[in-house]
Amino acid sequence: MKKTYLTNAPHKHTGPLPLMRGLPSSFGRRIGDEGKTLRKAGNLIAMLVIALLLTACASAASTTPIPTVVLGNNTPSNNQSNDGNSISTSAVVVPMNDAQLSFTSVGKVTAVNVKVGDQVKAGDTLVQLDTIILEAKVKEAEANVLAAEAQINYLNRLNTDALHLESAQADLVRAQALLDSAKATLNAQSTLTAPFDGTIVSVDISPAETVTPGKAVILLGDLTQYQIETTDLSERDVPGVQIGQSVNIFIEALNQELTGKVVEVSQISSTLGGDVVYPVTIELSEQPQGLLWGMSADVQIQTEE
Amino acid sequence: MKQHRLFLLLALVSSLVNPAGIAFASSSAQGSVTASAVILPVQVTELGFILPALVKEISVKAGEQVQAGQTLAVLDTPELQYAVAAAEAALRSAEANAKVQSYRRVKDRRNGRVFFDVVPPEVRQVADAKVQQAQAALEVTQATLAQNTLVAPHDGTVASINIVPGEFIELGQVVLTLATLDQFQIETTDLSERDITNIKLGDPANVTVEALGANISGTVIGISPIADKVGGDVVYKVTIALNEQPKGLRWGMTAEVNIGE
Repeated sequence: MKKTYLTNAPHKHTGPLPLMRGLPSSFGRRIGDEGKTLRKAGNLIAMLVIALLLTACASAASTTPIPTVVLGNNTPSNNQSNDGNSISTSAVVVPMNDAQLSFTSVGKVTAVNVKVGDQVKAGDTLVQLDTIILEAKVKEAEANVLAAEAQINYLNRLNTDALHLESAQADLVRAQALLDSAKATLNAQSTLTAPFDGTIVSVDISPAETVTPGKAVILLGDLTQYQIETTDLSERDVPGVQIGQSVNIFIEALNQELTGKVVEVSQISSTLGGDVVYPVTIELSEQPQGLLWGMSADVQIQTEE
Repeated sequence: MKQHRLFLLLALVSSLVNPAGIAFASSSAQGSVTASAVILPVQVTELGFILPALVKEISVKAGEQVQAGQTLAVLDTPELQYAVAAAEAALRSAEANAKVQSYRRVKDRRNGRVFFDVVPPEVRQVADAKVQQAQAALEVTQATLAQNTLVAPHDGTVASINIVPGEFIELGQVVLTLATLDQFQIETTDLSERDITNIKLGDPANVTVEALGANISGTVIGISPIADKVGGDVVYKVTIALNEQPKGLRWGMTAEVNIGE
C-alpha cells in the first residue's frame, strides 16, 4: 500500500507545477502596483495560494474522475477487460461504403448541386466546373477534323497517289484522336459525379471557388448500411480475434444493445497515443434507427464460444 | 487585504470547478438540448485563381462591401495578353485566306452561275475550317486570359485578403474570402452524440448571444451526418437559421442554444 502511494505521489505534483509558476508571479505584480509595503504580505498570500492550489488540485484529481471519459475512445488498452473469453474495446460507427470525392484537374466551380444531407444516385452530377476553355478546345479540335476530312475528299477526287492520300488519312486520324481526347477531358474533368448511391455527408466547396487535383470537396457515404470499427484493440488482444466471432455491441447514444460478427481484422496496425492497435471491422446483424456516422460503441468480442 | 484574499479564493475556486463544467452540452429535464454554438455567415466563399502568377493589383480592402461582378484582384499575365493578340492575328489571316478562295470563285462566274471553279471546293472547305479553328483557338486564349481577373461571385463583404501585389500565387490558393456579413446563422460546437438523437430538422431553437445580451428564436436547418471530435467527446454539428438578425452580430461570437420545446 505504502509503496504504491509513493510511486503515485510524484504524478500528483507534476500536474499543477506550471500553474504554481504562473500564479504567484502575477499575483506579486498586482500587489507591487499598490505599494512596496504590501509586497511582504503579498508573498505570504502567495504561499497560502500555493498551499491552497496544491491541496485543491490534489483533492480534485483524486476525488473527481475526469467526467468526459465515459464515452472516450482514448481509453487506454489496459482498461479493457480481457478475461480470456472475451475482449472488450471501444469502437466507432462507420458506413460500409464512403468516398472522398475530388477533381482531377484545376478549375473554377460554377455550380454545387447538392447540400449536406441530400440523397444522390450513382452518376448524379454533384459539382460543375467552368468549362469555357475546355469547350473552346473541343471546337478547335472539331474544326481540325473538318479540315482534314475536306483534304482527304479533295485528294480522293483528284485520284492522287497513295502516298499523299495515306499522309492525309494519318492527319485525319490524328485530328480525330485529338478531338476525342478534348471531349473526354471536357466530360471527365468538368463534373464531379456520384460513384454510388448515398448521402452527401460534407460539402467543402462553394460556387466561384477553385478546385485543385486531389483536393477533397465532397464526402459521400451510403448511410443505409453501417458497420462498427474498433478504435483501441491492442496488439496484445488481436491474436485472439478471428473472423466470424460473434460480438455484443452497445451503442451508448441510442442506449441499445446489438449483436454482430467480426468480418475483418486489419492486416496493418495503426497507433493510438503510444499504443499499437488493430482496427477490427464488425458487421451488424441489424441496422437500428437513429444510428449516425461517428457514434461511439462499446464492443465485446467473444473469443471463446 | 481581506478583499484581495477573498477575491483570490473565489477566483481559485471557480477556476477549479469550471473545467469540469464547460466540457459538455447538457440536456435539461424537459427533453430539450442545450449546447454552445458559434455565429457564422450564411455564405462564405474562399476565392482563388486557377493560374499560377504574380499579383498585379488588388482592387478592394478588407471590410469593404462589394457587389456581384465587381473586380477584386488582377494577376500580372503579359504572356496571356500576347497569346490573345497572336490568336487574333491568326484568325484574321485565316479569314483573309478564306476570302481569297471565295473571290477566286466569284471571278469565274459567268451570267450568274459558276462557269469554272479555279479553286476546288475542298480547298475552300479547308480554308473555312481553318477559320473556325482559329476562332476557337482565340476563344481558348481569351477564356484563359479572363482567368487573371477575380470578380465577386455574389454581394458581400471582403472578410480577409491573404495577398499583396507582387506576390506569387499558386494554383487554388485562397487569396480572398468573401462573406455575407449581414446574414448569419449558428452552428453548435459541443452537441454530444447522446443528445443528437433528440434533434430533428425543423425543431425550434432559442439562441442566446451573450455578447449582445440578445435572445433570438431560430430553426434547425441542418444536422451533420458525421461526427466531429472535440477533446475526447463525439459531437455533431447542428445548424440553426435565425428568425431575425440582431444588430451588432459578428462572425465568431459565441452563443448558447436551446433546441426543442
